[in-house]
Amino acid sequence: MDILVIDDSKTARLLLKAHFPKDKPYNILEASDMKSALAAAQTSQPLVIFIDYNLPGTNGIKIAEALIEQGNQSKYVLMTANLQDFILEETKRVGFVGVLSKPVSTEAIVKLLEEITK
Amino acid sequence: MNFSELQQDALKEVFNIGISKATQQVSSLVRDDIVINVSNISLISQAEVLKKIRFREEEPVICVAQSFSGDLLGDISLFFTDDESKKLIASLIGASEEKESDITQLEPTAVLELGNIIISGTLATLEMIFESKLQAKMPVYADGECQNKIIDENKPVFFIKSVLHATSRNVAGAIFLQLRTSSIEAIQNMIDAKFLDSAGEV
Repeated sequence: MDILVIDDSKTARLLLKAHFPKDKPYNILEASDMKSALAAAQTSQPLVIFIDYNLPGTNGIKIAEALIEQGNQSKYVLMTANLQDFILEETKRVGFVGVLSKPVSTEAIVKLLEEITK
Repeated sequence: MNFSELQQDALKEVFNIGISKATQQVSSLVRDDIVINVSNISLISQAEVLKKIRFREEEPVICVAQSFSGDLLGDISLFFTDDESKKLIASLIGASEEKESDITQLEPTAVLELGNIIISGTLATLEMIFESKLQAKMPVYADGECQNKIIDENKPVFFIKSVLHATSRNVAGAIFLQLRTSSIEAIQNMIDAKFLDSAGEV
């Protein structure tokens, strides 16, 4: 099962990967910007895409919109510590299935993945 | 500066999380969406900090600064131009432009309160993520020559800047984390222990 993680911070990507449950056959792919995200999503069609909100020159909402426009049918999860109302409203408008609060925890990831894959 | 790319990346990420959490409360207080942009990290002299905190030459600047000690030694400072500060206060108290004298009167306490929310929230996140003890001193408000009251030009600092932009009012402020050079090794150890070890990169 492919999962794509989009975050400009290598640390954040490493941490997220470290928190994924080890007993499931997840294949974690990584992207750090819009271009690499679009390419990775097109190649693998991941089941879930975790997207950071604050990204240089763009944000996670815009990346999800670009992916959807590209025809991607993955489920989207926004990762952010920035839980302002306008961001949460944008996630609903675009159709994100969840928001993962930073700093991430294994419990929150497991719960989200269970909900998404059930 | 002997900081690996990954350590810098980790510190930016932590600072970004701290600012993001703290800004959420301010966003509801000023009834505006706040966009955050965290810049690169650098080790610079405090004289260079003075240049970086000038948004526009010759414009009065308002600032709130809070020093912290404990496991790390440093300051977090929040800067607005005087004009931008007044716009923010107006949105905070719901005043119209006609009440400018009220805003001027309230400015020190209101900016101090806003700054305290952002700075304390950021410090709390640093403390939580690094599992460290940080004791914050009372916040200091200053205007006019505020930079000179807060910063000692002769000492180098580890510097990270974030710009906060209240979108509908087009108000921008900048927040700076300055770490004393004596705390650099301490924060490197914290990053390695709390972030990178658990990710299997050290």
